[in-house]
Amino acid sequence: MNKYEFIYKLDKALDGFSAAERAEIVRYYEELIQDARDSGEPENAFIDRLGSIETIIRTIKKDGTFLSNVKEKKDFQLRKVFDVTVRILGYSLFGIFAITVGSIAFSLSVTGISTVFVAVGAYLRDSVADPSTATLIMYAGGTLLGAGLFLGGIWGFKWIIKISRVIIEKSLEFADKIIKKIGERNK
Amino acid sequence: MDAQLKKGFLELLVLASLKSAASYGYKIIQDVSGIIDISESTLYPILKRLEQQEFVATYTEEYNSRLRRYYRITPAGIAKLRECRTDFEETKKIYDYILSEGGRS
Repeated sequence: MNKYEFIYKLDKALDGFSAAERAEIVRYYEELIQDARDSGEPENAFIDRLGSIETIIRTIKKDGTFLSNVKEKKDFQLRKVFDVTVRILGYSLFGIFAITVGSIAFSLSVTGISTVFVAVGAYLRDSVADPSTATLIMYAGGTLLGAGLFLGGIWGFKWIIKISRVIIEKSLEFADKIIKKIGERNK
Repeated sequence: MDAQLKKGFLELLVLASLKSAASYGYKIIQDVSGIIDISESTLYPILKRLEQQEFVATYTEEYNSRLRRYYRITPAGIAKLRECRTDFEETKKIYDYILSEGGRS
């Protein structure tokens, strides 16, 4: 079983748990698998070692603190609705953010690469008729500026991809915290 | 080992593994598994219980472009470990008695 299969099955098997607990348990196992992979353990072998999902759920339920929480399902539906709403809101806000930064990055790289082409092209055209030092500096400056903008744009793209996962995880964690608070108030 | 006894020891061992520095799930298992048989699925309820008793506190930190949950020991947790010293004296007396064939030694 690979990570995605395992996490999917685990999440499905946690159906009776509250949304916050469910998210927490899934995150715990996701982190374990990532950490195992990062320290060089083969993913599939590690997941096999975790044992069956039924055993995992049974171990958690055996613990008293969980049983009481599982039994308390009064506002389960409400929490579920809230959980989904926060997730949708989080993803759409992140989508708007990513599109904005993405377009800026895109226009920077396009402007950059075209500046390079224009500068190099103009230099090639004018080089026949012995250009002055000032013009040479201008062309070289244009090329450097263009290359700089292009690299800036590419860096922007890399940056969004890098932070996207962290932002999504942080917003999910925030949602879990609120859900937990609501749960405690209702007890 | 007796299941009840092991349960108590597991909690204390996990707590003790946090004494010098905060740690995370995967590392706690690696640190403790040399001393006692522990699995990933048993660690989760233990951490949860320690957190509820406020012996440990959690926080998340970015690692490798993802978030990792760290556990650190609280002053109450340190006090709990200190209790082990007196527990050890008492337990030792009990075991000495048990192993001495009913106290007839």
